[in-house]
Amino acid sequence: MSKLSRIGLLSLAALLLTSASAMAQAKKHSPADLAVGKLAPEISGVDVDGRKFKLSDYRGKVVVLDFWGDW
Amino acid sequence: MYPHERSLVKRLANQPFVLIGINSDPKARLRTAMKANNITWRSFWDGGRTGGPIASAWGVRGWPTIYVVDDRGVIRYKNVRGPAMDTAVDTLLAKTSSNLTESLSSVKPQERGMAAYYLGSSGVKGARGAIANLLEDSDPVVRQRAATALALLGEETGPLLESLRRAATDKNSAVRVASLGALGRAGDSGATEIVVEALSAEDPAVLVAAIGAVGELKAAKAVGRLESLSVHKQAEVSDAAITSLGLIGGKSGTAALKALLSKPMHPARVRIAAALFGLGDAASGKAFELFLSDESASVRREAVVALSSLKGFETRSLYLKALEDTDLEVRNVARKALAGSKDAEVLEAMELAMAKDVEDLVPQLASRTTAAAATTQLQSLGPAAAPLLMKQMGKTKSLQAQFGLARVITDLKNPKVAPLAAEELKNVELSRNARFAFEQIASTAGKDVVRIAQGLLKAESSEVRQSGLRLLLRSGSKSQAAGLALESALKDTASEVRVLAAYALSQRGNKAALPVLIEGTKSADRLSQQYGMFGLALFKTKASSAAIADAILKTPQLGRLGIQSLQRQGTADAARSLGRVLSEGTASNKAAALQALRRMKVPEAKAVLRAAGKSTT
Repeated sequence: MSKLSRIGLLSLAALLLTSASAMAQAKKHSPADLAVGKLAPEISGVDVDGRKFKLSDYRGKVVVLDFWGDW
Repeated sequence: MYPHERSLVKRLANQPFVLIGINSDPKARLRTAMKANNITWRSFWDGGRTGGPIASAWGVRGWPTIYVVDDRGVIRYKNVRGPAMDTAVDTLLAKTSSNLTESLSSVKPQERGMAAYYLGSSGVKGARGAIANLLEDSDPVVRQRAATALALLGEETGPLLESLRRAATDKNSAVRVASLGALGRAGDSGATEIVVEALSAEDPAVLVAAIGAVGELKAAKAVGRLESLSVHKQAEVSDAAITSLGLIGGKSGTAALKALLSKPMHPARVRIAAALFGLGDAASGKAFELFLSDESASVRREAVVALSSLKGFETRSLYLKALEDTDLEVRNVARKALAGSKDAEVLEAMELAMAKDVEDLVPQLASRTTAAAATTQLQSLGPAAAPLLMKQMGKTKSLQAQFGLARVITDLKNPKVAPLAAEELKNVELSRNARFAFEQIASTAGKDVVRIAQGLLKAESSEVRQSGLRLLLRSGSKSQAAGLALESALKDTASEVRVLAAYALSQRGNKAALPVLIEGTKSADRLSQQYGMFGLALFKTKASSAAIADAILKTPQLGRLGIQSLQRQGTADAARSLGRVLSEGTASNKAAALQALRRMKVPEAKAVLRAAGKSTT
């Protein structure tokens, strides 16, 4: 195998590894974890302007979480 | 939906409540929706699609989906809509307030402090008395939070002033800062003594709070002390002192400011003059002319910024002066202030200033450390700067600067520049990089690209004709005129031109390109070899596969590219060509061909491998 394609395979493997860990991060919460009375799982993300924020920033307040889309 | 949410958010504006969206639209659509529907609350942007990471983690399948979470982060309701949502939220809010009020007497200092803070920030006024008690708490953090909460609760601090005054001499400085702020805002004239006393504090944060408070209380007594604080070594302290002198005003405040201004070169002279002007001293406006010729660029910057605060002052001539400043920031402020003027004199001055900016900034594109800032500043000059920038292209030798310039010029979207770039491309002397940069600009000409390219294809220099072809390639034009231009370029006298034309035609599936592409792979020019190879890969014919193999055997460094092309062709002919590389190629090309053949699905690949004795491994 040429050196170049060896490097190609290595980087492909690295790519697969990172996408696997990204998938692990976005794992689904079980319905039991989302039941009334359970601590809401953390949400951390960005707003439309790319600013980071988290659900737990609002601890101490009552929060209405609204999954919405404009259609 | 939106109207109900809007009214809920509005009704609970001062409560510990927040509505958070998780939105599944593309960003542009989300922005439009927010604007059109007056959506003031924040949303997580969930990747622009319905199966976004947040929605899929939460198993959301229908939209809208609602969760209501209490103040401790516990899910309390799901999918409540309309009046049911209101009831749910109100129930939780009532519980939250009583939870918080209860926590005010918690044994844990942290809970007491946070409860006071939340009650203050959410405007629960009933808790005011209980919070005031915490001003005497044993824990300094609790005292500070309580003072902050009272400051946030704002008006009607009357009965609490006694506690706030005591807190203004607390041994903890954060408590003092918060209470001094609250006393100032409450306008508690009874606290003047305490506040003036605090002007001798050493902690700069306390000092700044005290200075602000004496200003708000218009404490004439403080003037002497403020005067000496105006030369404090910390800028925030001296700035605050001058602002407060302006707030106090009257005879003593004005006199103090004038005295300060009469001292030569006071470091805060600009602020002092602006404060005096604000107090109605029109004469101090004149000082700005001097400030704008000050030696120090920071004074000039401060002065030009302050011009906009001089209400009713004739600033036009001052801005014009600032436009000629040697400092870019000074010029930028003036430019912004003058933008939109129709005055001929102003327009001329702005043009001159722009030329100066372009000359200052373009060299900065060449260095990696300054390029990003220079790009932003050049873009802020607006489309009118584009023709000026074009002229710089020939002057700079740096590759980075040329490409940076091309990018800025393209981004400025001035329709005048593409024809200018087309003219430049006719210049035979252009360096290769400048040529590429001008091509990038010329390719923004839209429909005119084909006409521009036709013009360039008539040029004597083959370099210029190649520019014409690259323009056609970039434009991706499918027009008949473009096709005809490419076909006639196939008969060009220069080999590089012919191969480039053939490559462009191969993208249109035009078989007339084949012989020229084969010619390209045989050429000594590396670029022609590659164009030939890329073009051939697009035709799945016996001749093309054979030509690729020929090229690999003749020029082994093209092997990687060629073997990939053959594998992608995937035909029996391609497999046979790989077979030739397998038996006659260099060692590394042999290995690559073997790999490729093993991955190919066409039966001929197996036959080739068998013939080479490689079928089992």
